Amino acid sequence: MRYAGIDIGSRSIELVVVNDACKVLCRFQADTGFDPMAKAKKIVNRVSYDRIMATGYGRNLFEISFDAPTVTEIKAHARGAWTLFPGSQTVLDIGGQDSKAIALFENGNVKKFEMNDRCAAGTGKFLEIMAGTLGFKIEDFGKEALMAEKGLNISSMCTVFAESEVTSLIAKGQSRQEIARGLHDSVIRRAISMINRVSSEGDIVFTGGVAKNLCMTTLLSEKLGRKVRIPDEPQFVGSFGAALLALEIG
Amino acid sequence: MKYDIMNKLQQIMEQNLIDIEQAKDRGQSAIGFYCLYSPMELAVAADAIPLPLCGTSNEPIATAEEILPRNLCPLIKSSFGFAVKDTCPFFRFSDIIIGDTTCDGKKKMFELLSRYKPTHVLQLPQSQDTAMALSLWRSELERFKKIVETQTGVAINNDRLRAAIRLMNLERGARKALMDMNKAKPAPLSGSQLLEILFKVGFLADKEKGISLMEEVVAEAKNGSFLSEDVVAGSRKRILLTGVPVGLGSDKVVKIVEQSGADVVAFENCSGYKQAFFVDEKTNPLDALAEQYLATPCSVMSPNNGRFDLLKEMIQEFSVDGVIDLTWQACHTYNVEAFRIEEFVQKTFGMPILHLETDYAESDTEQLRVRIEAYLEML
Amino acid sequence: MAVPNWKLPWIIETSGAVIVGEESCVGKRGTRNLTDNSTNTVDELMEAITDRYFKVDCAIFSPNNDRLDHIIEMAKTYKADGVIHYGLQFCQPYLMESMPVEKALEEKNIPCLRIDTDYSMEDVGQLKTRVEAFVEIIK
Repeated sequence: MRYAGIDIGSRSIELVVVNDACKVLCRFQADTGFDPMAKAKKIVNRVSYDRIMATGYGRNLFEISFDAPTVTEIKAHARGAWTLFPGSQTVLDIGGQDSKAIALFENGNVKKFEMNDRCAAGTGKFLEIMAGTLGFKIEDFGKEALMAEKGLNISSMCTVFAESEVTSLIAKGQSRQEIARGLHDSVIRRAISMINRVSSEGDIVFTGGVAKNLCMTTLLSEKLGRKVRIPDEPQFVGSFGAALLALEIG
Repeated sequence: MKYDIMNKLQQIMEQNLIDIEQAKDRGQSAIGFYCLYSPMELAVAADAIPLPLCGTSNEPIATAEEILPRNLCPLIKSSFGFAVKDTCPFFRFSDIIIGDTTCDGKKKMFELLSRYKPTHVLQLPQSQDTAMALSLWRSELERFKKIVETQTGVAINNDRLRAAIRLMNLERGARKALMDMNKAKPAPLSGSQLLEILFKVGFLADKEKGISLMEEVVAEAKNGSFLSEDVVAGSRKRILLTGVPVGLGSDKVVKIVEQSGADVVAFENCSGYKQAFFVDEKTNPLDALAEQYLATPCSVMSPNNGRFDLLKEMIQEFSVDGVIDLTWQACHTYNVEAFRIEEFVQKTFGMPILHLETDYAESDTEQLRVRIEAYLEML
Repeated sequence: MAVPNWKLPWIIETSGAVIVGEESCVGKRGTRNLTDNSTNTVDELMEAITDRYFKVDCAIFSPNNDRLDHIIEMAKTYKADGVIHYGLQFCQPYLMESMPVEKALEEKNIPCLRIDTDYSMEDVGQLKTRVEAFVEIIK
C-alpha cells in the first residue's frame, strides 16, 4: 500500500508518499501561490496512493475538496521528527508563517506545544523579507550572517517594525552582514524562549524550511547548549509525518 | 566639567556594595522595595537596609518573556527578569521583597516572584479620599511592621519610627533641594545628570552619605560647576517629563530631548518629584506614614487628582515650556490617563503636550527623535 | 462566551470537541455561591450579599488561589478531558494567572491550552491549528 501526506503551508506545498515499511517512495514540492487547491491537485495527480492525509494551513480546504482526513502540522511534525530521530522529545519547527516548539512523550505523542503570535514574527517569511531588504538571496542569507563577527542588536520582531529598524541601520552605514546576524540572533532568541517553555533538556529536532539556514542551526545549538539534529530535508518533515499518520489510521 | 561628580558617585556605588555585603555578614537584614507606596521608614526603624529594586534595563526582558506575557510593561518584565536571572545585586541582598497591589501587571507579577524570594504584598487601596481607604492602608502598614519585626528581630517602637521618619525626611529634603535647583534659568543640571545622581543615590545603604553627597552637588551646582560654557542662557527649551518612572537604562527619551537641543528640567514621576514629600513628624508616626504614602499621586489611583495638582505646580515653578508624557508600552493606567493629562495641560496652560508610548529597546529611537524634534519646533 | 464574540467556542466545537463547562464570569463564576437569603433583617441580608460577592474569584485579586482549586474541581465535575484558558489580549491579570493555572492543572495531569486573542477574526486559522492540536493531544 502507498500512503501520502500533503502539507499545504503558507509558502509551499510538500507531498511525500511512503510504503508500509515507512520508506519514502517519492516527494514533491511547489510554491503555494494564490490558489492552493489548484496547486495541491496538480501535485496530487502526479502520484498514486491508497490513502492520503492532509496537514498545514490548507488542510481544511483539502478535506472538503478531496474528502481526506486531516491532522494539524503540530502532530505531523512531531510524528515525522520522532520517526526520523527515534527517542527525540523536543521539536522546533519554523515554517513560512508559523514557528512552534513541541514537547513529546516517549511514545512520540504530543505532550505540549507553543506557537508564535499571530504575526510573522520569527518565521521564514520574516527572514525572507529581511533578506530582501538587505539585498541577499534567501539561500545565502544564513551564510552571509555567519560571516559577521558580531550581530547588531535588533529588538523588533514584528516584520513591519523590524524592516524600518533595518532600514535605519542601513542608513547609518552599518554592515549588511552584521545586520543579518542581528536578525538571526533575534529570531533564535524568540525560538529559544518558546523551546524553554515546553522542555528544558534533551536533543532538539529542528524542522521546517528555516532549518536549512546554516546560521539558524549554528546559533540554535550554540545558544541553547543542547544538541540540535537536522533532518536531511527538513521542509518535508510535516508531509512525511502526515504520510505516516495516514498509514497508522489503517 | 570642573567637578567630577559622576566619578565620585561611581566609587561610592562600588563601596556601597561592599558595605552592604559586610552589613549582611554582621547579621543586618536587607529589605527590597519595588514601589514608592511602601514606606522605607519601617525598614530603617528596624535597622534593616532598605533597597530600592527597579527594572530599568532592557537586558533581562528576554528572559522574563519566557514566563511572562509579552503584552506587559517593560518595567515589570525587567524587574522580573532580574529576579529570574539573579543578575541584580540588590535583589540578591534582599531577605524579603515588599510589593504593593498597584497595577494589575505588578500585582500578578509578585505572585510569580514569590517563587524566587519571600515576597510580601501590601494591599494598596485604589482610592485616596475615603476614610475606608486610609484605615485599610493603616492596617496594612501595621501588618508590614510586624513582618519587618519578625524578619529583623527588632521591635519597632515610636522613638525608632520617629527617628526613621526624620532621616527619610532629610533624605527626601535633600532630593527635593537637588531637583529644585533646576527651577533656575538656565537649569544648572542637565536632566540626565540629575537622573543619574538621584538613581544611584537611592541605592546607598548609608542614607547620611547620600544626603551629604546631594548637598555637595547642590553647592557645586549653585557655583555653576555643571553648566557647559557654550550654552547661551534661554536658548534651550525647558521640558517637564511626566508619566512613568525612568532610570539608568530606560532614559532614552531624556537623552533624545537633550540631543535635540532642549533640557529636561523636571521629572513629575516616581523616580523624580513624586518623592519630594514630607511625612508629618508631630503626629502618631504610623498614622502620618499611612496618610502621606497613600497620597502618592500614581495613575493606579482612581481618581488621581493629586497628579494634576502636582503637575500644575511644577509647570509653574519650573518655568516649563513643554510637557512630554511618557508611557511604557502596556502600562494601561498611565496610557489611559494620558488623555486627561493632555486635556488638562492644554486647557490650563494653552501648552501642547507630547505623549510618547515606548519600551526600553532602542528600536524606535529614530521615530522618537522625529516626534520630539517636531514637538520642540512647535514650542 | 460573550455573545456575539463566539470565535473561540465556534473553533472548539468545529474541531471535534465540545465545551462542557465555563468557569468565567459569564459562566459558573456568575452562578455559583448563591446568596444566603434565610435571614430577615436588612443588616443580615447585606452581610449575606457581601459574603457572596466577596467570593468572586476574578484574576484581579492577588492572591487568587481559590480559582485554581475551582478550575480543577470543575474539570473533575464536568469530566473534562482538557481545559482551555481563554485570555483577552492586554488583559494582564488573566494572561499572567494562566501560568499558575496551567501548572496546577498539569500537576493533576489535566492538559491545558492557553489562548491569548481578541475579538477580530484575523487569527482564526492559527487558533484552529492550536485547538485542533490540543484536541489531538486529549483524544
